Amino acid sequence: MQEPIPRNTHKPTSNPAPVKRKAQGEGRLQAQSHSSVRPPMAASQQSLPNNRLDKHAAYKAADCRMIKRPQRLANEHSRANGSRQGMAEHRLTSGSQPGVNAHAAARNHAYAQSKAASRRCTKGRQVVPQIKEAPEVRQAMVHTANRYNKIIFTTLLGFLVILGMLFPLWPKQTMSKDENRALAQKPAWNWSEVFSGEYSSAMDSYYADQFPFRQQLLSINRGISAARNYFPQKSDEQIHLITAKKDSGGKGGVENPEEDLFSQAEETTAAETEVQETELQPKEVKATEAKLHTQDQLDYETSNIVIIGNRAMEIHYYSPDYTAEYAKHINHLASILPEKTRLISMVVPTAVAFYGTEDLRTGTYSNFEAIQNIYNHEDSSIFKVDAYSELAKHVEEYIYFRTDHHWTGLGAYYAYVAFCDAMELEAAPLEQLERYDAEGYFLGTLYGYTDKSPLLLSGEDQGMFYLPQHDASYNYYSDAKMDDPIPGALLAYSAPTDNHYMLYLGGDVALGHIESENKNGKSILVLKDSFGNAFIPYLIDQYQDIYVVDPRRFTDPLIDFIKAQEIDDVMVINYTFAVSNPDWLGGFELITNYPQDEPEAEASEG
Amino acid sequence: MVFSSLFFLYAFLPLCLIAYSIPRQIKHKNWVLLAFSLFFYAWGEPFWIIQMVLSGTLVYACARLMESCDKRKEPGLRKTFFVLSLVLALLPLLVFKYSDFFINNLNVILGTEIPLPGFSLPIGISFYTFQILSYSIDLYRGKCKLQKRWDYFLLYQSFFPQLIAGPIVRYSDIEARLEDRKSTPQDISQGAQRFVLGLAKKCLIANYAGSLVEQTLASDRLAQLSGLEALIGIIAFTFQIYYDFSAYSDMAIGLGRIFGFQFLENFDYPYKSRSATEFWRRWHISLGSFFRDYVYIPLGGNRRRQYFNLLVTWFLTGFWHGASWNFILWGLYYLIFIVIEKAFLLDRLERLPKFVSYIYMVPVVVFGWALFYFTDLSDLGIFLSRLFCANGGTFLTLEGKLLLRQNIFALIFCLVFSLPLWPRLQKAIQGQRSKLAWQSQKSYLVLSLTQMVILLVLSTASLAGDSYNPFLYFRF
Repeated sequence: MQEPIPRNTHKPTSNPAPVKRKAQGEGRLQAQSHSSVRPPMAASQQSLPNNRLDKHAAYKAADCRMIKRPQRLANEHSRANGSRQGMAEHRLTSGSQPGVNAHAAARNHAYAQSKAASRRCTKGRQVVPQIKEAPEVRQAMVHTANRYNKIIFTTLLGFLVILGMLFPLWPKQTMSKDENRALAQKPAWNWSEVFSGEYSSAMDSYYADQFPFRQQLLSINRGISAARNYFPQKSDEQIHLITAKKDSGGKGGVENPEEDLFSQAEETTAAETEVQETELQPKEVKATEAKLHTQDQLDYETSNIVIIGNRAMEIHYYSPDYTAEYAKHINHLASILPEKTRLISMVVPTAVAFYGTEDLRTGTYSNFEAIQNIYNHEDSSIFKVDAYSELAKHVEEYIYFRTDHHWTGLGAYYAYVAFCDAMELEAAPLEQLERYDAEGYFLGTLYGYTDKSPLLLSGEDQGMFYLPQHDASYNYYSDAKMDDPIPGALLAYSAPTDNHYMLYLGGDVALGHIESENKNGKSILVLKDSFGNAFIPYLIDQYQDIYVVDPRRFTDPLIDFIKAQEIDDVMVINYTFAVSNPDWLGGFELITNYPQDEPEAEASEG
Repeated sequence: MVFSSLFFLYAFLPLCLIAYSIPRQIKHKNWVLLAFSLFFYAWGEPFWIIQMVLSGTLVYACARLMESCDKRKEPGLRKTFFVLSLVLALLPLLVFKYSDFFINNLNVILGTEIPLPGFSLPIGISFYTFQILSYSIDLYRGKCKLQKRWDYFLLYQSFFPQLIAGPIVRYSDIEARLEDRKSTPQDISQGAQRFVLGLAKKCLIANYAGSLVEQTLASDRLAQLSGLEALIGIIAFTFQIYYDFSAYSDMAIGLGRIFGFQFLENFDYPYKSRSATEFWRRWHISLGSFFRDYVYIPLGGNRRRQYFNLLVTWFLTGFWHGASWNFILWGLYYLIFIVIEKAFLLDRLERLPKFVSYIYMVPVVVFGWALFYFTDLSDLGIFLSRLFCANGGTFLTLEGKLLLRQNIFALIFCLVFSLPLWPRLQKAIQGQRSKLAWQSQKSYLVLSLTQMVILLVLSTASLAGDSYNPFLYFRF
C-alpha cells in the first residue's frame, strides 16, 4: 500500500515537527557550516584540499549538480519524480505543459529547489560522518529523551494548571485605582445573554480583569513595551512619543458621577481617604452591566502624547474644518440668545502650545492657528477672549500640569485676566489673592494614558488655586428645574481623590449654581468643558450668580433656562480639543436646538 | 474563544489536556476532543454553532448516501449526492459571507434597492466549509474512505486547534489518525514548544505590530498621515498579518501534535520568497494547495485554457479572503505577477543576484498588503497619496520621526525573525547530533524549558496588558 503522497513536497525544515524526508546530508552540512572545528573526513572521501582556492577548484571540477545548471537538475528531478501529482505541482506553478515547455517548467521548479539542491550536493565538500550509536546507548538515549520530553510537556501543563487553579482562589477586586475604573465582575448566568454571546465576552473580561498576579503581569508588560520602544537618546531633554489607548470619553467607569461626587463630598471631612479596593463585596452582575463598567468605550481616539523631559502633552492637530464647524455652533448660540444677553467665547490652548518643540507649535499642530481660525469665523457681536497671549507671557510659571492635560489654577487666573481685559472689568492682582496648595502630589490623567510612564515620575504635580476675594456657596442640580440642590465643594481644601484637578468644582455636573457674596446683581451662565472648572471660581469676584452647565449632562433647552433666570452674560469656554469632541458638541447641539440639516453629521456627533 | 486569551490558556486548555489524558480508548479520547471543540466554538458563536453542526451533518449524510451507491451501476446517482453535498456545504458560506456583496453589486449594476440582509459571519465558516468540502471531493474521487461515525466526522470538522484560523486540514491527511493515534513523548513536547512559540509570536509580535497599524493606518488621521508614518504602518501590517496568521498555524499544529495529529505546515517563511510564485508556495500553503487541487486541476490545469483556469483560481483565492472587491483585486494582483514570472521574469531573476529578487519582491508584497488591508478602495487611494506625499503632504514629520525611532529595533527584529534564522540557530546548536541524541542532552532540556517558560510568562503578561484600560473620569 503506497503511502499517500503529501501535498507539500516543499517541506520546510524549520519547525520542531520532524520532517522525515530531510536528507541526512542536509543536517550534516549545515552543522558543518556553523561549527568552527573541522571534523575528520570520512575514509571513503578522497583527501581534499584545505585552502579556499583549491577547494573552489575542486568544487568546480567535481561533477556536481550545481545551481548554475538548473536545467540538468530539473530534468533529472522531473524524471525521478514521476508521480502525476508531483508533476501537476510544477505545472500549476509554472503553468506550462511538460510536453510543450519542459525547460521552463523545469527551470521554475529548479529555481525553487536550487537551494535544496546545493545543500544536497555533497561532492566536493567535506562530509561529516553521522555518529552511529550502539544499541544499548541508543536505548538509554531514547529513555532519557522521553523523560526530558515528558518533563517539558509537564512543565507547560503544570504552569497552566497552577495559574488556572489560583484563579478561583484569588481575591477579587472591584476597582482598579490605576485605571480609574471598576473591574469586571462575574457575570450571572442568563440564557438570553448566553445566546447573544454577551455572557462569554463578559466572562472573558471578568477572567482577564481578575487574573492572579495581574499587577505584576502589568509591570512585566510595561517592561516589555519599554524594551520594544527603546532607542538611545543623546539630548538632555528626551522626547518620547506615546500613543494613548482609545478613550472612553467621560462615560463608563463609575456609573453615576453625581452620586460619586456626593459620596466624595461626604468624605471630604474625613481624614485622607483612599478608595478602598475591596470595600464593596464583589457581586455577580448582569453580563451587559459587567461589560459596561469596563468596556463601554466610545469609539473616540485620543491623540498621540509627547513626553519632553518629565512633561507629558497631548499633540494637537489643527483642522480648519473642525474649527470652522465649532465657530458655527457658537454663532448659532449667539443668534438664539435674547437681545440683551452677551456671548463670550474663550478657547484655551493646550500645554503643547507653550512647551512643545517648534514642530509641535506650528502648521498642522498649531494651537494658535486653531484659535485664530475659530475667532475669525465667529460673529463680530461675540466677545472673544485672547487667553493665548496672556498665558504666553507667563510660560515660565506653573500654568499647566506636567502629568495631567489640564491647566493649573494659576493658568486659569491668567485666562481670567484676559477675560477681564476683554469685558473691561477689573481683575484683582495676584498678590492680593490668597493662595492655597493642595496636600501632597499627584500624577494625573496623562500618567495613566501613557501607561504609567516612569519618565513622568519626577514631574509630579500639585494642585493649587487662588481664593477669590468674595465668599460663595455652590449647589448643583441634575436638571433645569433646580429641585433637590446638592451642596457642592466649590474649592475643596483637601482633594478627596487622587487627581488634584478635582479640587476645582469637584468635577463635572449637569447644572451648578454659585451664589457669590458680591451682590452686584449680575449673572453669567458658563457652558464649559473640564478646563472651565479651574476658571469659573474667579468669576465669583465679578458676578453674583454663576450658572455652570456641562452640555454632556444637561439636557433641557438652554434658551428657556437663560430667559427664565434672566441671565446677563453667557460664556462658552473650551480648550482646543473640544472642537473635535463629538460628545460635547452633541450635547451642545441638543440643548441649543442646533439645526440638523445633515443626518450623517448627526449620526456621528449625536 | 481565541487562543490568545487568558481564559483559553488557563481555564480551557489545562482542563482539555487533563481530560484528554484520562480515557484509554481512542473513541473516548475523540469524544473528549469533540466535547471541548464544540464548547470552544459555542463560546464564540453560541447560536451559530447550530449552523456548523448542521452543515457537517448534511455533508456526512450525503457522503454516506454517495457511498451507498454502487460506483459502476449508479454513477449518476452517486454524482447527484456528491453535487448535493457540495451545494449544502457551500450554500451557508455564500449566504453568510457573500450575500451582502452580491446584493450590493446587483443594486449597483441594476440600480435596484434590494435591502442588504446583513448577516453576521459565523466564526471560522470559511475554514470548516473548505474542510468538509475536501472530504466530500476526496471521497468522490476515491482518495479517502467513508467516515461512518458521525461523531468522528464532526470532530474532524470542528477540531478546535484548526477550527477558527488554522490550516485547512484535509480529511485524507488525518483519516488514519482519527481512528488510531499515539502521542509520543516527543509529540507532546514538540507540540507544547511549538504552541508556546506560536503564542509568543501572536502576543509579543503580532499584537505589537497591530498596535502600530492602529496608530497609523487605522487611525482617524489617515488623511493627515505623513509619508513616513504611512510607510511604517504598511510595513507593520506586513509583519502583523504574517505573524498573526503563522502564529495561529503554529499553535494549531502544536496543539494538534499534542493530541497525536500531524498537520501539514501552513507557512514556510514566505518573506524569503524571491518571486510571487514562490511566495504562494510558502504563504497559506493549505489554501493554495486546496485551490490547486480542487479548482485549478479539475478545471483543466495547464492542459487546456490555462489562463482562464488561472484567472478563476486566483479570483477565488482573493475572494475567499473577504467579500469585497479589494480582496478579489488582491488575488488578481498576484495573478498578474505570476503570469509575468512564468513568461520570462523567473528566468531573469534566477540569473541575477539574489538581492535583485528582493528589490522586486518587497514592493510587490507590501503593496499587495496595502490592497488587502484597505477594504474601501478610496481609503487605499488616500493611503497611497499620503505615502507618496501627493497634494503637499510631507514625508518627514516629528511624529513620524519619533515613531520610527521608537520602533526601529522592534521592526528589525520582526524582519529578522520572519526569516528562517531560528531553525538555523537550532540546527547549529544541535550540531552533528541526531535528533534523538540531542534530545537526550541535558542542555536540550534546559534550553527548551527556559525558552518555554520565558515565552509563556511574557505572553501572559502581554495578554494581561491587553486588559489594561485606563479610563479618565472627566476627559474634557
